[in-house]
Amino acid sequence: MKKLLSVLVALTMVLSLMAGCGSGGDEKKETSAPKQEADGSASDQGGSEKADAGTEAAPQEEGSQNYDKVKIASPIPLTGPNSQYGMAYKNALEMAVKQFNESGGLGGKEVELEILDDQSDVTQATNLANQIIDDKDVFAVVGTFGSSVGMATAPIYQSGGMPLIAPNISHQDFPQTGDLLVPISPTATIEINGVADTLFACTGEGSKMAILYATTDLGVNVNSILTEKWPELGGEIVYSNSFVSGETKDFSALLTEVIALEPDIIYTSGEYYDVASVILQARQLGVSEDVIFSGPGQCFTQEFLDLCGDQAYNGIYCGTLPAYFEDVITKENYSDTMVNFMTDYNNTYSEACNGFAGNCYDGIMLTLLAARKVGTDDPKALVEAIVSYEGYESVSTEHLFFSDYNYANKSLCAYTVKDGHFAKVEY
Amino acid sequence: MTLLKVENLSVNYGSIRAVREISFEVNQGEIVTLIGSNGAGKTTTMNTIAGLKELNGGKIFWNGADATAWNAKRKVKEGIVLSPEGRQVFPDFSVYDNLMLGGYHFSNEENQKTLRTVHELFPVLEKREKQMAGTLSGGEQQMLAVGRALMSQPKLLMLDEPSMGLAPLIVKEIFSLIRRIREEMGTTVLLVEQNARMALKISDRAYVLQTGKITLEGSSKELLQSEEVQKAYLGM
Amino acid sequence: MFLQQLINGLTLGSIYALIAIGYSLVFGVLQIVNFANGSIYMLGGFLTLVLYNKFRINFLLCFALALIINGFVGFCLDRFALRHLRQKKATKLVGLITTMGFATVIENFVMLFFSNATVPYPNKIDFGSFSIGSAVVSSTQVIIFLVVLVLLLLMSWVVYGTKVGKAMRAVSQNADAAKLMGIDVNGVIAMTFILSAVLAGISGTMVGMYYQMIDFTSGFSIGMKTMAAAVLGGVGSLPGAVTGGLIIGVVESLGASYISSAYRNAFAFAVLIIVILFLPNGLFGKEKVTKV
Repeated sequence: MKKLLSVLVALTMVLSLMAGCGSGGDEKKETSAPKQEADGSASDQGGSEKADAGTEAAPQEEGSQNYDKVKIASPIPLTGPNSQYGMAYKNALEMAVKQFNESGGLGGKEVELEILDDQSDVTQATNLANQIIDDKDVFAVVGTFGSSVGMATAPIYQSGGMPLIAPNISHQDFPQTGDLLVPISPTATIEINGVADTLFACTGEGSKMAILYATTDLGVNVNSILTEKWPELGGEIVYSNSFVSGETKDFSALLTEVIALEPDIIYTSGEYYDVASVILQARQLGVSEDVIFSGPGQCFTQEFLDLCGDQAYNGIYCGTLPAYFEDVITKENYSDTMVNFMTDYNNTYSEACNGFAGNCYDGIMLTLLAARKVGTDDPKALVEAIVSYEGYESVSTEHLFFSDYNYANKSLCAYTVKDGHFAKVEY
Repeated sequence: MTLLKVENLSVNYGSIRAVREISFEVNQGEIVTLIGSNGAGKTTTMNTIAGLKELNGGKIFWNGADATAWNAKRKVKEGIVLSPEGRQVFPDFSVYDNLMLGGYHFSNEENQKTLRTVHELFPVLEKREKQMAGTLSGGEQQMLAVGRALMSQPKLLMLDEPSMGLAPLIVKEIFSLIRRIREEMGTTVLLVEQNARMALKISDRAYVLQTGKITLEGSSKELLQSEEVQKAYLGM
Repeated sequence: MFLQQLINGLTLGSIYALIAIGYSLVFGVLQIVNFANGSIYMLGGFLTLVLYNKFRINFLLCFALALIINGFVGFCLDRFALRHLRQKKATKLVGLITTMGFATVIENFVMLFFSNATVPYPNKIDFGSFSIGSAVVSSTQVIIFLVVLVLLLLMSWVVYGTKVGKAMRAVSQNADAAKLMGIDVNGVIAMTFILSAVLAGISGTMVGMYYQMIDFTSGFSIGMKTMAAAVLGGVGSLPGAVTGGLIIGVVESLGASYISSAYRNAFAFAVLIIVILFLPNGLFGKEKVTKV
């Protein structure tokens, strides 16, 4: 029933968008916004002003860019087990498109957003991918949630000449699968190396680490990278074992051994509830108060705090996305762009702003800005413009750039938990 | 006085019509028997009267009241008790527990009283009181089944093929016990049997069931003499 | 450390035992595996939580209410689905599939309320912990043991010491003969479903408190393992279900720590297979003796 409903909603949206297109798109606009000029110079070639995203300067050579195609397709999980993430994407996508259209769109034309439900199912996503690459109006795809769907459909988009901007695929092989593919998340290698550096900086020489990792591609990858990097830095890996994320609820068997080995850090690679379970059960088993708990960015949520906030003290949780809480994303800690993004999001939607939304917003906004610059008729040019875009103010990190053509890099965010709240860790 | 009256009873198994509009009656104090060969519909009839099987046509009257829609529990409480085909004792209960289950709806006091009578009739049941029913011999299980039925204090005791699979000597014993039950306890008996000779010998009246229909009826003495019956069922 | 693993394993095992009893009871009277048992276990935990969060009254009261609703759900499964199948003389397989369908319905119903997040669970039986040597035992664990022990004694008394229990055992040995005793077989079966649903609900709530979180997928994986526990101990046998549950819990814990954590479920099933090879009816199961 839910599936039927969401299909109907998506269909309605698509139909209303198309209807809007035909009649000049009046329903979409609240304020008829002419092209806004950014403060200062109109040039954005190599521009370094920190203008707010969405109100960027109009392209230099007006009229020379081809904006025949104005549609972005977004296959995301609106239903199914990942629907909560799909919702975050949907919100971010709609917000970005609205802001972009209000600031002039593509040469005055409004960008259309087509949201499709891939249910986080590979078969469904593949079907959608095949449909999308045949759609003559789509100039880019911003979407796919999760490595399995992303990796399965990436070749389709690549061979179909369709740029795919994937907000949170951190799979090692994604960037090299094609030159039309742009992840916004750093690969696990890049991220975990950063995490290791950060943790080592906080704990020092000879620090003993125990690793608990989920038996997913990501978890296995994290484990092998950490196991190699940590001793290189000067630390010691005292324990490493796997669990099945979501299925293993009882960590006491593993933790009993871990605690006996007296580690300095316990790193858990898994979902937020896995990390929470480890913390709760370790405390129950009488783990030393000095032990530092560490986990990935999936923990930066209210759900995580609800599960174990009062027990998660003395931790260093690192991720490539910030913890979108009002007491954390402040003008003292982060840029105005980030603060404004979070405030706008929380004012517009009932769901709380989170890293998935942030990444997705960056993904689509970067795409739209690059499209404004080089037009929508050349996929390769578009992707090049995205990865070389200068002066983009990210809403999900202090510093976003691409290396080795399309490998994303972001500055790491590290937090501890104090009195059940996240607090930025300076190191 | 008519205790049980069956009118145009029909019972089907899917599309197979096992019992086709049979009518018979059992009067207070009688021993009535239904004889017939395998597949004649005897067990189906018994199970339907006892409430184990649904009927597809006809009516059942008990003491004048319409008992057609009564379930097994109601029938037992009214005194219609069946000792089923194949004995069907509870194999993992002791002899004692089996008997006590027969008295499920009665108080312990009453049951103890009935138990004494049962022990009198079937001394072996007292002897093997603690033994698991599944380990009894065939004849002992049959006695247990009858004894268990008696514990329900039946007004009509229905017995489905009590001689099946038993040695002739045991069969003789069982049948003389059936007679005693009628004589000493005044219980009415409806008996269904393949062993026509023994059945006709102890019963007052009989019906012959053939492929779901009653083809012959009368006093047991008459039927014993009838040439038809002798040829078909008495092996003469 | 072994002691600690053992204690953890026994806690896990006693939770399994409680659910395994439910499987055993239903299988005993109906000769089908109730695939909905796992989801009913999960439902019980959720009901307690929802009632507690919604109405903010005494936790024990919410717990009791949740058990009543859970028992009712178990009753409905029998009354409105399985009983009709019995009347229509459907095969056991159809009943089995029906319970699977019922499980899906329950899971999706819970999904409506909680979408797919893992939800925090208040631990109302947390009174600290104490040490035995190098092992730490939490009050939660102790209370779980005691609850299971009490319930086991209670269930044993019901099954072996009451008239209703005798009726249940009679129905599981020979349902038709039980009918001929005037026993209300449908009533007995309904009672069995209610009991097993209540036990599962107690388990679900205790597990929620023990791990301080609950999610709606918890029903499926525990369903498989507790079914294995019931078979291991001998379906239809109460002490068998409990022994089976404890064994599975301990083996799983020890296997996870000493061999490999990723294959912890495999150990549980490996034990089951080994036992069944030598004792096809399980540890306490009896050979069915049928004589003509």
